[in-house]
Amino acid sequence: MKLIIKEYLATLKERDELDAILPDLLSEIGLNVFTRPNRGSRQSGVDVGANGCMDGKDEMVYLFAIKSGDLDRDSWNGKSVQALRPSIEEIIDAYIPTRLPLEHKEKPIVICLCFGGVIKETVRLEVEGYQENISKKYGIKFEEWNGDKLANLILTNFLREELLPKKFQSYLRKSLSLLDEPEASYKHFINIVKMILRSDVKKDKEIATALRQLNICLWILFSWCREANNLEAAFLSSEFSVLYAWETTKSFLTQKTQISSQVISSFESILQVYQLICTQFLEVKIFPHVDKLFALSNAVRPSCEVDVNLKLFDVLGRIAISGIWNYWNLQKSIKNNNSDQSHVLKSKLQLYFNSIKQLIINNPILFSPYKDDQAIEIALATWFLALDSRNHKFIHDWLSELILRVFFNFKRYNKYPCIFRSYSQLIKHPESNLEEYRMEATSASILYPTIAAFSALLGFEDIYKEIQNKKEELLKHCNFQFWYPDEISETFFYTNSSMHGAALSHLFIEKSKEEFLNQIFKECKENHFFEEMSANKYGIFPIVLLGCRHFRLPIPVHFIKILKDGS
Amino acid sequence: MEKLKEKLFKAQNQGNLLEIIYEINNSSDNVKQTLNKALISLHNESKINIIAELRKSSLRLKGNDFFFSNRLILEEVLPEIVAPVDEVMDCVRHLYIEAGNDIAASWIFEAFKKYCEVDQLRSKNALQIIEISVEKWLCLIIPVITSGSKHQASEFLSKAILFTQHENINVRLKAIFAIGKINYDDNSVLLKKALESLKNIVNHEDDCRLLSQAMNAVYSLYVIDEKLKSEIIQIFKKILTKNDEIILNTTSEIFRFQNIKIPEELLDIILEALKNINHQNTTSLVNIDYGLHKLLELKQEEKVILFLEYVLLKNEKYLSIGNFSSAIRDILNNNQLLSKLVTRWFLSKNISLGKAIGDLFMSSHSKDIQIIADKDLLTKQPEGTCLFVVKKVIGWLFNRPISCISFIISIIDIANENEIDEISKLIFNPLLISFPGRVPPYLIKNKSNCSPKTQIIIDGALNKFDNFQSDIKAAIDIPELLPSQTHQEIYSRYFNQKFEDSLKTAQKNSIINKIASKSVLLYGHKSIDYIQDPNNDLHRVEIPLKSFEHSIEIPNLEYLDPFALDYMAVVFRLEGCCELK
Repeated sequence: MKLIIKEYLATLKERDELDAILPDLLSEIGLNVFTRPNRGSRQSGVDVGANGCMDGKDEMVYLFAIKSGDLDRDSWNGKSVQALRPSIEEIIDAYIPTRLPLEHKEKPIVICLCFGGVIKETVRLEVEGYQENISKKYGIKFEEWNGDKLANLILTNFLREELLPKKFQSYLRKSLSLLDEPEASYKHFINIVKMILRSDVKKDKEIATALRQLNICLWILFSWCREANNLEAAFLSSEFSVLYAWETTKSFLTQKTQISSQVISSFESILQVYQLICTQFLEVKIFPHVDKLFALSNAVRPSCEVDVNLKLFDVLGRIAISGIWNYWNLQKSIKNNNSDQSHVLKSKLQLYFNSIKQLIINNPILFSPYKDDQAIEIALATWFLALDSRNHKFIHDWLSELILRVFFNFKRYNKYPCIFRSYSQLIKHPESNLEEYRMEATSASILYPTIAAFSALLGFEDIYKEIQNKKEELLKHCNFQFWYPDEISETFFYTNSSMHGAALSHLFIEKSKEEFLNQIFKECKENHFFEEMSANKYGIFPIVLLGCRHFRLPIPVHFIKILKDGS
Repeated sequence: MEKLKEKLFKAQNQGNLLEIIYEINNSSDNVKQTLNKALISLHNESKINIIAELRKSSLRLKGNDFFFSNRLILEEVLPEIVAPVDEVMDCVRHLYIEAGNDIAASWIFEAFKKYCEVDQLRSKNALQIIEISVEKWLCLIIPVITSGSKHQASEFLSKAILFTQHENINVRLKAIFAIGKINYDDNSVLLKKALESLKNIVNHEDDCRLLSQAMNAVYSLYVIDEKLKSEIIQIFKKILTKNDEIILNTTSEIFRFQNIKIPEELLDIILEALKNINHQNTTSLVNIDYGLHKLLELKQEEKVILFLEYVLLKNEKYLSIGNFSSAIRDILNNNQLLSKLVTRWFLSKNISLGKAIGDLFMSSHSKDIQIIADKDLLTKQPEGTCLFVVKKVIGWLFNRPISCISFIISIIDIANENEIDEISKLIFNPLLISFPGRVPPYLIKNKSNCSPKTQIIIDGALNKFDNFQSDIKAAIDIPELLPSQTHQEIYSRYFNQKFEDSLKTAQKNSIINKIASKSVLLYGHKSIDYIQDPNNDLHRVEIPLKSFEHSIEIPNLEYLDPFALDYMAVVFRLEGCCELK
């Protein structure tokens, strides 16, 4: 286990990544963290600051200067802005005299050189000599927090056997050993999540610890995935972790205790890992190829067209949901008057808009949904794109071509959207050209009403009419429907532990678009459970969309209504 | 032979002559001639009566093989046998009737004809017997008249003409047929007489069976004397005014079995008539197919194309080019004709003809047929025609990428700039993208044979394709995009099941499985067998196993954008055409 953790620590590539877990670790040890890392900048050389007693010693102030990987000549005193020695000098010259909180001024100070790997022998003498000089001169102590020490601390404070069920370590090992079979790895990680956030963890302190454990496990998985050049298991696991973590965190949102802020902070850490994984996957692996014709479709290395279809729609959904998180971050940033960050996030938002558009243009399988529940990805992408009215023409062109292809396939008995979800059914579909089979395969739909609703809302009269006509001509048997959360959705939505919600059937698609929208939005008014969902109540609505994507639930109509209301 | 004769004689006395003949006949291949000679000798010495033996009723009850084997013996010995005409006639008629509907039933008449020809009196006597009871001896009218005409053509022609006036239509039919088969020996007077009689029949008879028989006979006269051409053409014209299936079937037979070159004018009349063929009459269609094959051998390509065009369009719902398999083979083997046909039929803007081209290529096992656009047909066409034809080629021949690309690069020289722009896009997508294993090597190999203008287009398309390939390669290592292990396994199982099912279906109809027994080798790469020679010695033989493989390139777009392929095929096939199916 220690080797696994050491491996993880050694592979953390950025300083940000190491300091993402350090505060949690220090809190768990019992220290009080008074300075947390700020993105992009150090506070006069200090990445993390904490005080308290450790290993039975007197209370001390611990100031951490963090560096990823091994400490060599370059990272000790090279040209890099993140070199350690200049940071230590900054701590001594600037932080301790001017920024160290007053209450800690009189306490003994320990400067901790923190890095994921080891000190290279070539630089050890130099480092030790420097430390000795400083100690003599200022009475400041030094500690080396290398990968081995950090691994020991993680193991004894987070993942020790008394804290976790017996099977935990076995699941983690299985999950890490099956990274090339992401589905299997993900299944083992699900067990870890469920084990860590099990229902018998009830005390607030235990919950805070559990979330920190989950955060560290997710980090371990992510770093291993990154080394294996396959982020799939980490991606799926992080989505699941966010949803489960939210289920655990939501009850702390109204509390104002120290523990609740620790719980919320741990949830935010998990959310950050998730967003980091999304970014790494999309911005590093996917976006460079979205503007290349068929490049991503071909990269699926498919056995058949169904493979391309499923994978590309999945990628579409991932980009859309990540784009929505970006939008959410932007909103937050604007609210906080952080104009620099807003500027960055705005251009990132454009990157996501363009990536979706390029992805669709260059991978035309995205004009032909094979599964009715790909309405989820279509809704996510459409909703996201619709946030900017400059994208409306693109949405129109996409949906209009999509509808043309769907009905062309329908008439020719070729891969038209069906209600089947299993892969074995999809590769055979359509199994027969008999009308009876086609009626069964298209007996219900969220796809057509979703497109109709967006079209009605965005004023795509032609698409709405086309769906109306085809419903009359070809799909009389098909039950057009929408899904709405109900009174138990809040209980089960984030863990998908039971069926919940209600379907509004027999939509007024044959009527005018205004009447159709009235019908589906009226139900939104009748149904207040959506607004009462904790993620919505506390303003983290992307979690609902994430849950819909991950657990294959239709996007609630309320989101479409939000577009209408312009809120 | 004496021993054999003794054995046969003994058998005659014991009442099992035919059984012994059958036994001897089947014992060895070499015995047949000796057996025939022995039978002839014994019969002519009056020691046995082979005619009487074979006349016995219910021979067929002893089995088909027994019946036909003994009947065949008679066919072989009859010309040399001395026997009264009436007995022979009775026996032949009996054996004909006994044979029923078997295809070999009438083969006995040839032997009887030869029997009659041995002595001119035999035909005369036979004719007298027939005249007494024509209907009874109906089946022998033709052999008797044709054999008699060998020595007394005039007399037997007269008798045949007389029979053409008989009240029984079946007698008339036989007589008309016989007129066509008489040995005229270049006697123009007799030929004229025969022709007149047939003309008379055509003028007065209304029954299509008689008219079709007359047409057959008339054509036989033309084969003997080509100088009768103009009269015969008139008779054909008259008969073919009746658009009757029996007549058309006979016409198709004449067309099929044309043993001399049919005169141009008559050929046109025949082809015109055959355009009205009933699509359900498969016999006639097969005849026409063979006839077209002969026309193609005679380089009458234009006539074949026009005929096929007409028939396919008239019967578009019922007939396909596949009904003319012999003609298809010839067309596929004649690159120039094929290229012309492709250009012409795509230019026709007719969907049925476009489909015919698709079917034509589908019937070929060779996937690398190269075709070139017929520039004579394409010049003076309105702007956009080259692009139109290119789209048709891609629409109908997409799965034949070499045929597609060879045609397309041949058209570039005569296409205008706007068209070339579109054409080069089409070379890239869908052709190069879909068939990276076949189209680029073809273009590289054949580029040097093209004009500079075409070479520029090829270079442009190949460059674009290289860039495309680079983009594809750059994205190939994204393991997150690979289908899951579970999906891969499910698909593999599904594919294997489909493969097994189709293998079983194919093996059901395998000729090899029908003619050879199956033996499964579980291990090794050769088979060891011991083979016995005529001296019962065993020889060790090692038979190395051969592996057979077949590979196809599935268009990439089938996976990447199947809709686009399907949609493109439909649009390219139908776009700009005069009718929609």
